[in-house]
Amino acid sequence: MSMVRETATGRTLAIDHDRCSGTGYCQEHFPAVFTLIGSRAHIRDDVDITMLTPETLEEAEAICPWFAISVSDQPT
Amino acid sequence: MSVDGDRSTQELARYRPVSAKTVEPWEAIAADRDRCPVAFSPDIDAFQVTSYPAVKEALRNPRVFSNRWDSATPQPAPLPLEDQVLAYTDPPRHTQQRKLLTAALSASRMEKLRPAMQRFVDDIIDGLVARGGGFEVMSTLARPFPAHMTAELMGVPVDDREQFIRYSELAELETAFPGTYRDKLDEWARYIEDLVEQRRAAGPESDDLITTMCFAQIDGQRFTAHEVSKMVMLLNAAGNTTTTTLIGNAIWLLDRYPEQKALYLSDIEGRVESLVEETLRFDGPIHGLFRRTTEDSAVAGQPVPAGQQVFACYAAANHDPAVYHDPDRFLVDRDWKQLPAHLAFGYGIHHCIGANLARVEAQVALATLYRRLPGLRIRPGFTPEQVPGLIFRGWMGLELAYDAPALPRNHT
Repeated sequence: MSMVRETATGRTLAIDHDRCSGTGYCQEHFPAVFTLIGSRAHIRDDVDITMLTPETLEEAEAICPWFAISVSDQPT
Repeated sequence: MSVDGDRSTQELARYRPVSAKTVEPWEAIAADRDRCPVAFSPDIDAFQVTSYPAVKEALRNPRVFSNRWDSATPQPAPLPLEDQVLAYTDPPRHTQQRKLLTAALSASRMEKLRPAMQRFVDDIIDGLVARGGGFEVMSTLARPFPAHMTAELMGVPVDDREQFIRYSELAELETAFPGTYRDKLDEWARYIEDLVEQRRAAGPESDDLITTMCFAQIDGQRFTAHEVSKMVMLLNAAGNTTTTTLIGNAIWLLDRYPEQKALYLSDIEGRVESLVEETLRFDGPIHGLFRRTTEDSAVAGQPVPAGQQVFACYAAANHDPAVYHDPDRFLVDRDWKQLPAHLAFGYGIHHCIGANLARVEAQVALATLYRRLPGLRIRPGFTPEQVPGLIFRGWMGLELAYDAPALPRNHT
């Protein structure tokens, strides 16, 4: 299972639930963007992805020790 | 504490985790944390870090707090590059290696192994029951069970597994008695390197960990056989003893706190997850691990000069009263869905890669033992012995007794 949201610039932010192991680091560092539900990270419903800076997206991608968060320029 | 980092005027740590290792060091740790959560410890020749936020502060900065000097048995110089694998290296090398392995060890993948683990543990218990009487749980279950699961995940040929596990046990002894088993461990490295050659000749036909490492490419380059053997040996060392001691520590803690044991036994399936998390928090297998500063730095405002060893004490962070209420009480019904994560698996980019495996293994072992063996307890009169050394917290052996008849395995 994987969840994906697209930004205004066409970049996508995705969480791969086959990799997510629930460390919660994403929620800890970006509580406005991520939330843990049932020990898996989710992108919050109330977050406006289009407002996230490229730096934030890249930092979020780097923070997950399970490499479950990915940012890409390809439309899914 | 001095601002210039001059040790003679600094508060020294008084907690002695090696020369005065005790079964319940919580008061000594709390005293050091209260006085100064970052203090030089003459006992371990390192800056000892004992508060939850300070441990996280150090571990989230791998550029300054490096793993290249070995995080378990710190060396005087950085490890040779070919020996720098996983927990013994830093980004970008660490990131490239770790990326290859996380998918194979993710929570969802490990959950799929639960039925196989259940069969393995039930088979062991069937054997113990058939033999009758009490038994020593570390050598009969807590040690062989994770070791076999790891060997299976690695893709070690079935006929070689017993020997592979014996090597793995010698590697563990080597950490307590450095140099003693060097020849045997060299032999193990050669065995793995031969296996790498065989796998490469056979092609990428299976998805076991050794095959994955054999065929993985980073920037068009494959790992050397030596690097694969180092990773396999590290994953074994990190993966087997830890889960073994985790199972033993839970058994001991349940007997130490009878009212918590009663609470657990009243709902084994419902509480086994929180039992495992609380055991990890209260007295996890790894007391803490080392880093080495690559430049003058500070932790929690305390200066730490370049080139110093830093001991991130996970157990101390996990007993921080600022994070967990009644931290020195073992409580099997803490609500881990709400609490901040404990640091028994470390924190940051080196978050234990076997955490998901360890959790499922410990849950299966601890639920099955107590479900099938009525009145399971440490044999009255038996005094267990704590393993020596700084890094590991666990019992050499635990003699158990139970009230026959045992319950049959659940047929599913």
